[in-house]
Amino acid sequence: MTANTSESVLTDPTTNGQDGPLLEVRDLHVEFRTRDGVAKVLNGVSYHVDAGETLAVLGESGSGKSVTAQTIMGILDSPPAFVTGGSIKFRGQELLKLSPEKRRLLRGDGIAMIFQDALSALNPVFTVGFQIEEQLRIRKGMSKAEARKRAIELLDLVRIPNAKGRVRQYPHEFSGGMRQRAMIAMSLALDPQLLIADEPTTALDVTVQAQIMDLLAEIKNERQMGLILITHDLGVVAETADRIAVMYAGRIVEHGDARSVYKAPGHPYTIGLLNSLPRLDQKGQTLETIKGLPPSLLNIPSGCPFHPRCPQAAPVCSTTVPGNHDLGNGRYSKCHFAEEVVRNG
Amino acid sequence: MSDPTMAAEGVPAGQTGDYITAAEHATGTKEKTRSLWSDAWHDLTRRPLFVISMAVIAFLVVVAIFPSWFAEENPRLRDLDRARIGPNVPYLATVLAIIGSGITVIAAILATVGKLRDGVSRKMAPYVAGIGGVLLLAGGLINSVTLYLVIGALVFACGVVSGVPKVSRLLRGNAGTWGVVALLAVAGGAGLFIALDDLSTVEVGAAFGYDQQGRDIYARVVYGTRYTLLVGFSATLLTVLIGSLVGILSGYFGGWLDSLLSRIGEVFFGLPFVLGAIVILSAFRSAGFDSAPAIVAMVVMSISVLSWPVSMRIMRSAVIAAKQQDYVKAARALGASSARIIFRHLLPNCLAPVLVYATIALGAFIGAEATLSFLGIGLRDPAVSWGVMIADSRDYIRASPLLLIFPASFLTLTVLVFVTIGDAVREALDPKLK
Repeated sequence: MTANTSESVLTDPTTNGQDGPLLEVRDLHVEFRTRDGVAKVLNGVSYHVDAGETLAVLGESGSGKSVTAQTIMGILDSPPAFVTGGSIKFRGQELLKLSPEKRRLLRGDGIAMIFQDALSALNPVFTVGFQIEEQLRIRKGMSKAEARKRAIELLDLVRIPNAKGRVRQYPHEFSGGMRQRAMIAMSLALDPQLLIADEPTTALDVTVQAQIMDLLAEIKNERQMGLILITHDLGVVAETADRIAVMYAGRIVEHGDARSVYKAPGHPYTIGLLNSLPRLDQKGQTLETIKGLPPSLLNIPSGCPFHPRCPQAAPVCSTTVPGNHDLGNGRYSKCHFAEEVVRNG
Repeated sequence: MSDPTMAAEGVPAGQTGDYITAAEHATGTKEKTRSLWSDAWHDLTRRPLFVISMAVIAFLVVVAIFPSWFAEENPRLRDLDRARIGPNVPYLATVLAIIGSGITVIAAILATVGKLRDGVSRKMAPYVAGIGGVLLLAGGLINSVTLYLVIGALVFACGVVSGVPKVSRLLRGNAGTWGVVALLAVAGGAGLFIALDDLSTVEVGAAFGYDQQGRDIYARVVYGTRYTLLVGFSATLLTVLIGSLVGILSGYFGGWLDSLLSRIGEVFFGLPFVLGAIVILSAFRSAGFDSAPAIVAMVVMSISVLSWPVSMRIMRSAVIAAKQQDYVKAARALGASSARIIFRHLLPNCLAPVLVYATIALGAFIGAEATLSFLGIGLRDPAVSWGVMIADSRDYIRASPLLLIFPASFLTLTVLVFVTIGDAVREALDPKLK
């Protein structure tokens, strides 16, 4: 444990490349070596995030959204997880080649993460204040009083009422929405440039969801942070995301700016996701679903991994893995018939 | 838990000003916040059995530290002229009656406090009165003093009447309760007066008699407390320290380290306790450890060496369970180092099960010390412990059973008290039982 006052690897100006995106993930491969065999969890994931921008990563459970995030953070348990290829560049610096100690110091300081279930992500035996102050004291070398002051400011920032009294309380004394706010305050303590929110609103009810999303968007704009929003809730994405990356079986199957992906999806899987949203203008209809189950990652189907469930599957789909079909304007889709799909919407 | 700010959460985020004032209004009254530990403590202090057990332990600890306050006789003074003389029954009976009466007076005070200010003492009073009554009855029985018997029966009945819910309903209302309080106070006072008066007429000393070598059994019991508790506490501390450290390492780091440490633990776990202790202790016995501290250290070491795998397993499984929690991941995601995660974030969350084991193990280790001493390989002269006394009495059990009964009853009481505390702690720390 280092109690250094200037614990930061980001002060080195040579690594501070201003050109290029804040975070760039390229062709990331991760596998889980389990007793049942090797599960290929990520198969060439690429995306980037710029400062002040929100990237939404969409997909079903098990599509690799969270694994990508945890690989970026470097908090995957290894074994069983192994990064087998690709690169992650944060401000031009290759993360996968950094020493574990340097990576540790980058966490919280450069990249921070918010977890889905704030109750289990907050330590039950410490007060909320202590958990925020701890990082400030260790990493920034603040005194107890300074850290307490800053913790109250942070809780105020995330709009926790009566922050002064609340710092002394334990997580179980907070409501669900306030816990998530506290979690956000905790992750903001070291002023990260990139925030990864892993399904931050899944455990909350709808009104609180909206508040939390507004709060995240506001903080992101104020601080010009990059924000990666991992979710399976398309409603959440529509309002806040600048760009969308749709994941399926450990790869990005469609990527583009939020508006055009919503308007004219370029992959049958995205269409399926959008169709399975309940709609206000069509009453009394059975909700559409995507037939079948997500593929087992131990045994990914040949060709396009989506073909067994795809309503538009052709013979070529089961034999050839589709490449990126450029749809213009930074959009691309991993479907053999991407152009047609967009046209027929 | 009703969270007053829950309502405030529903207000749209835009109207910040509004709901802050609303929430401040709602949380205006300062409610004390409680951690898991202070919550458990709060719960424990409301359990009469726990409080009484703690009082007994506190008393035993005082006896262990200052035995000379309680016994004037030298526990090692041998005088074969008085070998195996039985207990001084009149003196013992009077002392029992004095203690019983004193406890009865305490019960009356507790009942009064409980009546005036609702609290723990209300629940405690019946138990305390019951204990006082039993001691008075015992005093009366062994010396056939009718007055003690009558007062004891009365006090015991008061305890039962106010302690059993169905019966205590008869006493509902002020008159009934105050009547019981008055009865307890009068009975305790009268008992105290009579017994203290009797004390001047009886011969003082040797309450428990003398052992086969003519040593004062009472003095030996008092001085034996020190070694008995010393062995119990040190063995528990050492066991928990070794076990927790190994358990944390293997639980947190997993992999080959876990396999290695677990296998080592299993080897020690596989050794039969008594056999293992006999081998260790007899091997070092010949090595010339003859002073009391050295003997105690050997016994403590052999108990700990053979029992640490239990606490290691408990700690390991607690760490593995806690490690999966998101807060550990969150701590890592915020850049905490391994040492910080283990000692600041995991340890406090894993302490509860080990603590419960420790309190129960303490009783078990006191028993283990007695077992080893009885087998002649544990403590021995110059160290005095209850186990040593039981061992000394083994050849005379049929001729003078009291040589066995006095140390054995103190041993039983102490083990019982620790197990009771362990049970209470387990219940208080287990959220499922609340």
